[in-house]
Amino acid sequence: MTEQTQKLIWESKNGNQRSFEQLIRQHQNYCFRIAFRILLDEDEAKDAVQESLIKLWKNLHKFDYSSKFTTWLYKIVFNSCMDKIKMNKRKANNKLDNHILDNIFDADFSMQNNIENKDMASIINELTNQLDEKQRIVFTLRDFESLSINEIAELMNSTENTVKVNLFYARKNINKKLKKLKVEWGAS
Amino acid sequence: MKCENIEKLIYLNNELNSEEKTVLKSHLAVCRNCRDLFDEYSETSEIINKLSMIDIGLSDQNEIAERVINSINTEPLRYYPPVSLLDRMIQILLAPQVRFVLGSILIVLTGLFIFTSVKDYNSIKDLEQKYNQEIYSAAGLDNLIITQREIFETVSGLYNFVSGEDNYADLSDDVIIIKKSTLNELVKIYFEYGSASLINIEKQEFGNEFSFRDGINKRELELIFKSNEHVLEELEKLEKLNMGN
Repeated sequence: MTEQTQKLIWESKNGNQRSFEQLIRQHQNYCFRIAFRILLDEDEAKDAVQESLIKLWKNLHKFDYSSKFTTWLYKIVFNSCMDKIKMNKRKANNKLDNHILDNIFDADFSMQNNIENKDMASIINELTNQLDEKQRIVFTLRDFESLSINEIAELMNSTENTVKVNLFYARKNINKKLKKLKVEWGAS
Repeated sequence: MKCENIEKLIYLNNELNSEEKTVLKSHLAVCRNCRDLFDEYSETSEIINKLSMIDIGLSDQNEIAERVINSINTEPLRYYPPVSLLDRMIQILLAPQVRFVLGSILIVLTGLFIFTSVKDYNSIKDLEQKYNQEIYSAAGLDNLIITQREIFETVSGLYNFVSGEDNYADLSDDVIIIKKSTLNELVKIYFEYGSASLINIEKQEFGNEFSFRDGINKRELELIFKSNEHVLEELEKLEKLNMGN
């Protein structure tokens, strides 16, 4: 945590809204990425982040520096997302949000066959969304958002071992299905 | 190690410790199937890695921040006044760990205080018992009870001897008792043969005190307090000296 962030946290804890605004501007993007990975819907993710940041303002006085600030914040985001999933009684969509999907399709993978790789990317996204919820969340947070195993375990109130088991099955499932698709393409 | 166990190491290859990495490497060197799986997943992993680099951040950086700030402005949230240095210190003192340490120290100090008080009380009781007789006699002004401390104070210039009734708590093994008669004799000698201005003894009504005023010197005081017998010897010497004169 930088000295500036520490200062912003301290001032925000003491009710300084300007510092709090700076603090949330620093972290909102990453919060959104996490929320989006879990909810797979841009608007839902924005709502979840907004709710989380309001919760952060209300509960910042409870932050006692015993854990990393980001882990503490992401946990709030994670819990808001879980609440949303429970409240809406829906599992994650099988489709990625269109706006984000466009971004993914437009991304330059700097590989030889761009079209094929874009397809591969969309297929992996598709396969990711077919995973069991826990596997999907662990997989996306670890492989797409580079959170550590320990951080994910903390967010999910789980153990590192459980996280690793979920990660293993997620990666294995994706690889297996991809292999199957490749075989089918080869045959057609 | 069996291939099914190696499979886990392949999929978790970026989470392995050095020992697991060595196991994986040695196995891949001898097992073609596992090597194929490793290569296959490496390709997949590479695409996943590239997917992770795609920016899915917020398109509008102000949207959420502004909504949050507006929301906290309209909601009557808990007010946090600026924290003064004193508040900050109080906060630190109220931290659970600090409270535990301070509480422990307080308990230990209280225990120590009670222990020493009881000990003092017992020693006072012992002294009371030991010197009971002398104290009562002293109160009746038959004797003077003088502790080493008082001698010291006297030598330092207070010139004040306490008969013991009020100060018996100070009695120690160094206590010396001088009979009033002895003292009177001593004083008489001083009046007659010493410098009359050196000593003036009077009984003060309120405290059974004898006070020496004016210029009695250290040696003279030492003579008085060394012991009764010694005092008597000195008195005899003084008397002989006087008779000689």
